[in-house]
Amino acid sequence: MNKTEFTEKILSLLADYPRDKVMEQLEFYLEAIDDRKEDGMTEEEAVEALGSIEKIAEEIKIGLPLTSLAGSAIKKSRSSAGNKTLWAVLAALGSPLWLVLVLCALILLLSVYVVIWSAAVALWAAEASLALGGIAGVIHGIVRIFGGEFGGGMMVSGAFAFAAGLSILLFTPFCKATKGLAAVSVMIPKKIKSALFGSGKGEVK
Amino acid sequence: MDSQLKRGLLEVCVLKALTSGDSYGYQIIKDLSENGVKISESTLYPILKRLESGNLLTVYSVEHGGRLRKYYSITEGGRKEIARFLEEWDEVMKIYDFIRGGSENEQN
Repeated sequence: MNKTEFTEKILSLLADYPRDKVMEQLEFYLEAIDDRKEDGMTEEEAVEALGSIEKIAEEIKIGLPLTSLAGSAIKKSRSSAGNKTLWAVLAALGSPLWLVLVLCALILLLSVYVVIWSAAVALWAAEASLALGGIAGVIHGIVRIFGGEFGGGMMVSGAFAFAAGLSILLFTPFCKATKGLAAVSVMIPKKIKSALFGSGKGEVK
Repeated sequence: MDSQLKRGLLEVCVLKALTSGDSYGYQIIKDLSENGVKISESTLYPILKRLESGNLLTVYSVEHGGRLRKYYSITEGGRKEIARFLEEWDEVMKIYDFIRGGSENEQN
């Protein structure tokens, strides 16, 4: 390879970078070629003696000012729909913040729902245990009465009849409460939406 | 050899090559080669840049045969760096002797 070919090769390897800056650094190597020629080598031998061209290109690239390196990276991303790497990196750098915020919001929303519906579940669990327990207890009491424990049996039946009765009493209020919880869980996303995206006119009820 | 270590050693070698007088790229390579240290421009170039940015040497241009040739000159800081290196390696040599001496005994 002669001096001209060497120069062209370097320039093509570093085509993405400002030519004048590359040439500045290339001077060192061109000088070295001339010095070796003076020493008696042929131009080809001199170029050969410089070492690996790829390594030289790499060293020149590293030696370029940061602005040149950054500028070239940005140019690349604009010209090709694919400096995907750069944009992926930028997105990754940017994403943790908004991603975390979005995740937090979702988790918050989810936990609100969980709270609402576990309240509902609790109500109905209580209701069921009163009702079923009550019935079971009454039956147990009757069994005891027939078994000869009139007093004990009556007491048990009475207590559990009371529980059963309570469950009947509470049924309507619990239904209303559940409806209320359902309404709340529907309202929440609406409120959030209007707060985030609302035009400020009128209230969402 | 560990590449970081080698690079550090080569940097001091280049400085040493300049203690006998200002020199230019190819001449430095020849001087080092005569002393058993073989490097190419692609290695020398970043070393010279680093030494310059560390103010261990300075650069100037001289007209030579119709073109400009860059000469490198060692600074006071560069000479101190050589002295520091020698001091540091006195210690390394002691450790080396110890390790060397020890393993010789083991071989007996």
